Amino acid sequence: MRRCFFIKNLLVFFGGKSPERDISVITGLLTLNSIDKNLFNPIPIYVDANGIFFTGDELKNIQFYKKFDQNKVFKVNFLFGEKTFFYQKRKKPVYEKIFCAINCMHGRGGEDGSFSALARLLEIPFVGPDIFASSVSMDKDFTKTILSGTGINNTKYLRLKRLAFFEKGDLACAFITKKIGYPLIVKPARLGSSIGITKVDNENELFSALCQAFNYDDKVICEQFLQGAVDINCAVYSIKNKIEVSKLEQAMHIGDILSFSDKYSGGDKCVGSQRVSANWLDDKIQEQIKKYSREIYRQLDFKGIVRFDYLVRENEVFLNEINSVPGSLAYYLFCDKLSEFTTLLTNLIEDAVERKLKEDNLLTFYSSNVLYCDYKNMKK
Amino acid sequence: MWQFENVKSLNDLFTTEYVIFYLLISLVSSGLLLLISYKFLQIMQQSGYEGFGYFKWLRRNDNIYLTRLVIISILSSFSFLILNITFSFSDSWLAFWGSFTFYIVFIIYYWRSEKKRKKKVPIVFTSRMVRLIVAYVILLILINFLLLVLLSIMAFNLRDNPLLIRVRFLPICCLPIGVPFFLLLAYYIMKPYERSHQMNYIRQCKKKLQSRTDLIKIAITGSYGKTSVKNYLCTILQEKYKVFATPASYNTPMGICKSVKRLTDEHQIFIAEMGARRRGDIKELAQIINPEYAIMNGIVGQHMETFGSLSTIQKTKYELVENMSDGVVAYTVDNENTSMLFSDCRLKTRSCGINASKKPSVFAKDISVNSKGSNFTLVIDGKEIKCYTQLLGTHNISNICLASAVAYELGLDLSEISAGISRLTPVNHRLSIIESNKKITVIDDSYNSNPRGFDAALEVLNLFEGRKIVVTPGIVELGVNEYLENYELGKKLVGKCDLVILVGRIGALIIKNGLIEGGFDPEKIIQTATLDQAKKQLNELLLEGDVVLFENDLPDKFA
Repeated sequence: MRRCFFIKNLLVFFGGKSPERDISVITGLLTLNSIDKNLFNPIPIYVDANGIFFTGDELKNIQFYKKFDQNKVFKVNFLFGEKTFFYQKRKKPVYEKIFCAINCMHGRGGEDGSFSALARLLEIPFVGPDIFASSVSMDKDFTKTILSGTGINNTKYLRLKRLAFFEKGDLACAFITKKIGYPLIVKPARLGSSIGITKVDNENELFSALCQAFNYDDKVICEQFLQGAVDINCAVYSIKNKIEVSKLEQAMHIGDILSFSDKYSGGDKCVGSQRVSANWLDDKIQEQIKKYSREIYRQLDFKGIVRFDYLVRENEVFLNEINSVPGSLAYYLFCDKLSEFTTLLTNLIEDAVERKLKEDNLLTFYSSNVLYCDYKNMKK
Repeated sequence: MWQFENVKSLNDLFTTEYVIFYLLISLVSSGLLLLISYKFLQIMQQSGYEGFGYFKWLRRNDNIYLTRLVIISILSSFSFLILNITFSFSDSWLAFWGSFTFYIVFIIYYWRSEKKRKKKVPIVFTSRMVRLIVAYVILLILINFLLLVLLSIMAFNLRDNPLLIRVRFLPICCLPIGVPFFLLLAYYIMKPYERSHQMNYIRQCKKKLQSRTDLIKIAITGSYGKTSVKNYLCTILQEKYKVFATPASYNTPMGICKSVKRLTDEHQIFIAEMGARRRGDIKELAQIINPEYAIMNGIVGQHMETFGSLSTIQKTKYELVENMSDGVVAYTVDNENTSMLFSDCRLKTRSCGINASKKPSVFAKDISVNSKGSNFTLVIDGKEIKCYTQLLGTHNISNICLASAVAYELGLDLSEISAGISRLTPVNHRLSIIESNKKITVIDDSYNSNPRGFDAALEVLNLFEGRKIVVTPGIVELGVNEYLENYELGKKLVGKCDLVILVGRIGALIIKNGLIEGGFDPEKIIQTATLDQAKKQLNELLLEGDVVLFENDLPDKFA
């Protein structure tokens, strides 16, 4: 039952080269299944570990990823500037138009602005943040730098580059010990899902923690560890420039830090199954968190659903990190039922399409006659 | 037909009718014999297509497979005789050929029961195996046919005795006993062809390697740690170069030549590990590859059944150095058998290891190991750098020193080497740690096959907290020392673990002796016949926080 006469192809991008690929599959499939099939035609686009794009109905089934068979799916390519993608089916190319795209790729190669850049070059509307906001939030170092002017609390931190570290390991460790002190936490700068993150309690453990983090990125940050802080999450989206802030939730964890296994410890939801409501927080703190979230979202000109992770200790609120493509698109922070998520997605998609239309109409092209001048140097 | 009524002379036995008939019977009989040959083909493949290893397996006293074939033959022969005599009044062809029914039934039954049994390492149908099977089948058809002809002629000569004519094909039922030997014969027939096929392969590989004058070639040998050192060296060198290393355990001439096919122009460095089973093996490999850099890890008395003595092993490994025209050799000082070979070497050498008293030129000090990884300081030519690796066990640090020596010789500076070391991951099944989500730590050391590795595994096990369980079949292929080593193993386990599960029959009983005489509580020893049974038992008694060590694995040869 389609109301319009052409099919609105909605591409859901998920997967990616990053270590978070598997989690992205879950986010992607959830989104794919939640899209309103009366209004749109959801199409999965999966990016595998080598960066190859695939499409095909098999990708809608989660069991398929356990034994990925390239012969059952199709390699995808794009016609830039023409809002089209194509693939080979039985040796004949099939061309399909793109109506809109949704980003469900986590980590580098997807969440860091790569997807937004791809969508822009394809001239398609997309649900998700734009290039700058994505790259700033992917890199924890850049995030801290940008937000240092907003007055939001920031923990003491230092950034470290890989080769410099291996050349002067002892010096680096001594410097970190002096400037930050213990306990501290070591994180790869551009990774999510708590991979490669270690809490360090004393100088003996620092070197090995840094080595481990450098396995995942060549930039690492060391920041002060807030003992006794709780992890509070808050999500934001905007429709027609009206910003909506979600409820607050606390992420529970065993041990000192929220680890990968805490976040994805199996179970049906498989996304932070240890989450509880954060209503017990002081009202003022709750207001402050929501205000920060709204402010950052606005200042960085975010689009789509973004989740902000805070650390709250006593009465102080610190920003931990920004997730421009949150797991499961943080639907659970806005919706109690998946049907509400469907409505939310529809609104986001229509908003993205409208925005793109306005952009296309507003931008005027400046023509110059640079190429028509007589250039003495260019003459033979 | 079978009563020889129409047969007046020998020539009548060879009419087209008879010949085609005998051919058909041969085909059926060969098919049946092929069905029961699976195990023998598997053993042939697993001994590396060496008649010697295969023959040794055959000759073992407790070889049940040979016994089974004998039983099939005896039962078939018996039933053949009984059926024939019972139905000797009938002249129909059914009564005659029907006496083979039980022969067919027994074989099919045996085949089905063998099929059901799970095999740990099934036959891989490489082109060589397929050629062997084809030759084997042709040989079987030939043997069957000749036997039928021979028996017919014999019966013709004795045709006065009707009973003898009736049962003249009895020897066909005894053919199963010959199966292992027919296979051996087929193997020897194919040997010259395979050899020339291999020589051709090797020649091509040699040519390819020689044509790449820019390629840096590194060879690794030793009794243990070859694959580990190869992997570590590969990871460290990748900080600066594009490296190609032969895949896991492809350390024979054929294996190396096969992997060289995948070497591309982009690769700047080639690393090969060299395995040996007898004198001359390393020399052959060294002449194919002609490396500029070599690594010699420790030497112990392994594969004694083919080598004979420790000094033979030493001489064999040293063939690598002898066959290098020029270059650098990195050797370990942590093993006496190796370091004594290098007291006077014409090539440039780098001594490596953690044994400070030997004053190695590449040396690791200030080593601290815990269950999360190892920290140490690497010292080369007086320069020091701090290093960390997630690998466990001091033997791995010794391996890292060897890899670092060659990396240093190839131009990497210490910071690059340290960066590479931080990226090292354990080789699968060699002291690799698997953390299951039930908070149980599994140390998988199932590829280990020597006592030294066992010591290292126990050392690593000791780093962990919690109840310690060891699952092992004992060490095989130690030749003369098998009894002693397994006994010592049992004694070493005392006090190092809380529960032991022994798999199989060979080493298990010996280890048990060692355990009990060392004072281990007999209640804490479980014995199972196979690894699967051991795993089932384990599933029932595992608790959170346990640490399980899987040590040594049984190739099917010893099952």
